[in-house]
Amino acid sequence: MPNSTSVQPQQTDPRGGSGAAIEVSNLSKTYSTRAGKVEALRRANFSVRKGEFVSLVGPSGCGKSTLLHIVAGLLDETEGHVTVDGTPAKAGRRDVGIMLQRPVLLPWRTVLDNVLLPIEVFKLDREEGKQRALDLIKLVGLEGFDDKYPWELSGGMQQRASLARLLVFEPDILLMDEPFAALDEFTRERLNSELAVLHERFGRTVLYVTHNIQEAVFLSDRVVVMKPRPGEILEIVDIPLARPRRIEMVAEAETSELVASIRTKLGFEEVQGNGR
Amino acid sequence: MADKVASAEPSTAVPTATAEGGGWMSRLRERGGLGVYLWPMGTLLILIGIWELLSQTEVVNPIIVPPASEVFSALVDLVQEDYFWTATWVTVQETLIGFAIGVVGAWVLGTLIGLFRFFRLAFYPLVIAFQITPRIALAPLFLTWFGFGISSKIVLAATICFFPVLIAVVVGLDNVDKDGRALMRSFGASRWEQYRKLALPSSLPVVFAGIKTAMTLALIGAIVAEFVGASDGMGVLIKTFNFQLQVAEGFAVIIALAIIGLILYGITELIENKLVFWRGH
Repeated sequence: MPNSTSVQPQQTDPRGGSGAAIEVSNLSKTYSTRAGKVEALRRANFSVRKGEFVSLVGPSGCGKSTLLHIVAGLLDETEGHVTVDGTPAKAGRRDVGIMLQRPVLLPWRTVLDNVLLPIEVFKLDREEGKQRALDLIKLVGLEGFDDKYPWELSGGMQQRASLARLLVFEPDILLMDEPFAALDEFTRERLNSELAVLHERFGRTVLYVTHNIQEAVFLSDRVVVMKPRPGEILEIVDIPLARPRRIEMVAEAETSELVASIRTKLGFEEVQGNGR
Repeated sequence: MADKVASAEPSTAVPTATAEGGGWMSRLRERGGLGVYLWPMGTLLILIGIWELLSQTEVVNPIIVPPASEVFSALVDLVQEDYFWTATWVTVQETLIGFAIGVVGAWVLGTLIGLFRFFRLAFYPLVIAFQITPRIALAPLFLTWFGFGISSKIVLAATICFFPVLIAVVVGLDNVDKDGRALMRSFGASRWEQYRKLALPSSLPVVFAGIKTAMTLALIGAIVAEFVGASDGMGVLIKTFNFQLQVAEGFAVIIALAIIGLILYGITELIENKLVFWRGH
């Protein structure tokens, strides 16, 4: 990621405050399918402090994505509740932005117009938004591609555009649902280290869903470890790695130990679960 | 820039690259452009040659199947006649007006069905049921209702156009990307904004597939309605020539119809390519 940027330094908001950005209490979600009821999430409890980076990790079916969608207000909970910055979670909040596994760019819009989509829908000032969009396109490394169409970009570049679209309306809380999972290893690693820089520089609160333990450890302040059937939180692990995070830290012993311990937690539960 | 490089280092890769680029360009143009037309043209010419030969050698009766050359000269004679152009204009008018009414009506009802539960429950099953009815069978009825003029033809053309477009609109709206909807909701988009900025453009590629089918169907509708009963039009010409055993002239009108069909389809496709430029990506 180019380090020179014209994104306003005022954005750097040291959100060291102690207030909870996201508060999840006793959250359960049961889906009714033709095959019967599926308990996707059972009594989840945790909170994310302002400016904190928290990951939800677990195998598929552990309810991590469901949880994120409830926080985003895109899904209704069956029981319990979620508050975001003190008010109930709902869709259409300007302080919350979500990024999905697929870039979801509109093929009839250029990269710039895709990035401007939230500006239009939130009815924000277009001129100001356009300037910020161009700055962000540069920041995510897509300078000169603003008038290209999404189908003229590679998968990694499309996801960068999607990241710019997430940041353009300056949400305080970023919800990311396996944003780089569909990309190749090399691109994913690079985008992750860029995300770490973004988080550290702009101090945004991030709730990040992944099934990649190493990725979760590298990025997070805390990792919420989850298990499937029913989706439940096993444990919340503190990640005391120093900041700023650098990509070399992936190979360091402290990181490996944390990854190994989380893997053990998941693996142990699996064995126990099968034994029941 | 390129000049400077070339003069500073004579015989560098720069001129070679340009020449190579040109070669590729022209080869691409050949493959994409002319070849597309030349091959089917060749096939067509061979088929016409066989036709000519069979008729000239009287393997088939030339009175029933006149040779291609005779059909061609009939066509040349025909285009100099005023009544031919009057008939053509009548048929084209019926086709285009019927098409326009059918497409607009289908788009409106399809959108209502696609967006509102009430319309889906109340209308969609009826639409599907009605679609199974062969609409051509309605032609005599329309003749009774709307008379020998162009209105009965317009109504049949519109009726035949209606269904493929309606189904395409509903399917197009049903298949809007789920993640796209989630994203729009996360921005707090209203229903109208979700339709205007996401669902409508998303549905366009599918809708245009329906519209292209509708264009050809509209012409069929107009001709069939003319067969059933009309005072003017290309369908009337075909019937008249056949009754008079002027088979070559009848064939000539059919060829003119094919050309009109191609032109109308081509225009529709041009509009599609302009409007749905991202199609296939």
